[in-house]
Amino acid sequence: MRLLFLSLALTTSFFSVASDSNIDPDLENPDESKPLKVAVAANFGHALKQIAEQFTQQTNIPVSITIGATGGLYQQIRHGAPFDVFLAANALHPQLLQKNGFIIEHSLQPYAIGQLAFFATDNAYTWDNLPNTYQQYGKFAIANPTHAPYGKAAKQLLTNIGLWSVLTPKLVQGNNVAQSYQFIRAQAASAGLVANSFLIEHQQDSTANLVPQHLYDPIEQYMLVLKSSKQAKAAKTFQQFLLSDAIQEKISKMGYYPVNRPLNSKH
Amino acid sequence: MESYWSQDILALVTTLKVALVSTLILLVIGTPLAWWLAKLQSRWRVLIEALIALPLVLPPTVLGFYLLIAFSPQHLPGQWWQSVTGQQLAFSFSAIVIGSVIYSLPFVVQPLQKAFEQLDHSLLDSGATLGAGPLDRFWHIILPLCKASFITAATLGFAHTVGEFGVVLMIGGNIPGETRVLSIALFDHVEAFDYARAHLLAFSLLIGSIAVLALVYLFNFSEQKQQGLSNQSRQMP
Repeated sequence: MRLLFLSLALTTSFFSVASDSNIDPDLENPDESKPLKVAVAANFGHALKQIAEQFTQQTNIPVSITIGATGGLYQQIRHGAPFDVFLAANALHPQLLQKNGFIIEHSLQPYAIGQLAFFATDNAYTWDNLPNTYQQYGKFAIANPTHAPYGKAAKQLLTNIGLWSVLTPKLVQGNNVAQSYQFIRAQAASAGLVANSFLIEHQQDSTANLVPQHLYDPIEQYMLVLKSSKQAKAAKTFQQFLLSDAIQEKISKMGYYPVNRPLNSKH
Repeated sequence: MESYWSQDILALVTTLKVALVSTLILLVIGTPLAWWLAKLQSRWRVLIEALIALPLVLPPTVLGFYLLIAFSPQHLPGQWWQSVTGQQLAFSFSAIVIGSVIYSLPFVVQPLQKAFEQLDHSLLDSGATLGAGPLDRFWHIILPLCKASFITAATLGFAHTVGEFGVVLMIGGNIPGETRVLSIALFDHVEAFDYARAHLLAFSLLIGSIAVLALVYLFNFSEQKQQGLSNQSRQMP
């Protein structure tokens, strides 16, 4: 079972998987428009699948999802990938697309705020006893702090609690936060800092291990509609749907802070 | 500025170290393996050849995934390594060397096997009749006769290890001086929009690879030419 989970996590982080939502537009809605093509950062892929299903039920607009790393999807978009909506894991890449004229005006906005969580397969290791137990760790996994948003946050957090320099010799960096999660799941690293959404998706108990939000800058995840989209209207509807209270409430149960609430209130 | 470049220099040194150690191990393992395969008559030969050729077709992520699990301290190979060396195998220099050896194995075994298959065995027999032991025959008959193939095998193994990315990405953990090799550093620069450094590394890798491969083919070319000439002169009355 663990192998299965690992291979699933592996697939989502290393390959761009195009997965159509359950409804095949050609069969169910022969006269409907083509599906809305959404490119999504790996950490939000699982959440989006459920949200898209609900969206299609309510609006009859089918959605096709492409999961990938934010940087990779960004490069694809710059080279003409035919997506309608892009849900990134950060603000940087969407802002660059805006700067270079790839997006529809005013479509750039945050849709979720990532939660950083401490994760160890050994229950003896928790966020609370990190300062006292880190000496016993083998390796400590984080995402790459130079370019992965969750890695940047992890470095900030460890710096703020004064453990960055002592943990440096134990650090291993995943290319993205999904890979850091795999390192720990494969038990190659003792513990680490990952996206809370993964812990919830794989039913790891994370209640005790959500790290305090004030210790790192919010991991704001931005979305946008591409200028090249031929379904700008449906895309706008999708954006509004994502920001609706009901969906934001749903997101807050999937390992994210909602965006339409004061940042410091815990859900 | 200095530390800026010294990171890339460190990645270069690490890469060369991994490639050098891997190539040496590959030659030590690959030579007897190729010899054994060249001589093997059993139908199992096909299966073993297929196994060795696997890294040519499998995505490196498959190998990396299995190795990551095997190398973790919770599983037997990783446990064994830790009890023998006292160090964790996953995310270590040794781990990426083991990964490289497996991943570059076909590049070393295949040219050697071909050379051994085409070897003129009457020469070995004469050597044996004249009293040369197996090691003597290897150093003084096989090695000189298959020199070109050994150089090809070593160079391809070395170059392929330098160019490796997927396996190291999965089992390396990006540790400076230990597992951060050039291809990983290059990837990081691209991801961080540091295109100037990315270009520099990419261009150096490109030029380096062309130079190494051109040298191999140049060597093979001149060997063949020599052989062709000596064959011709032999045919002259």
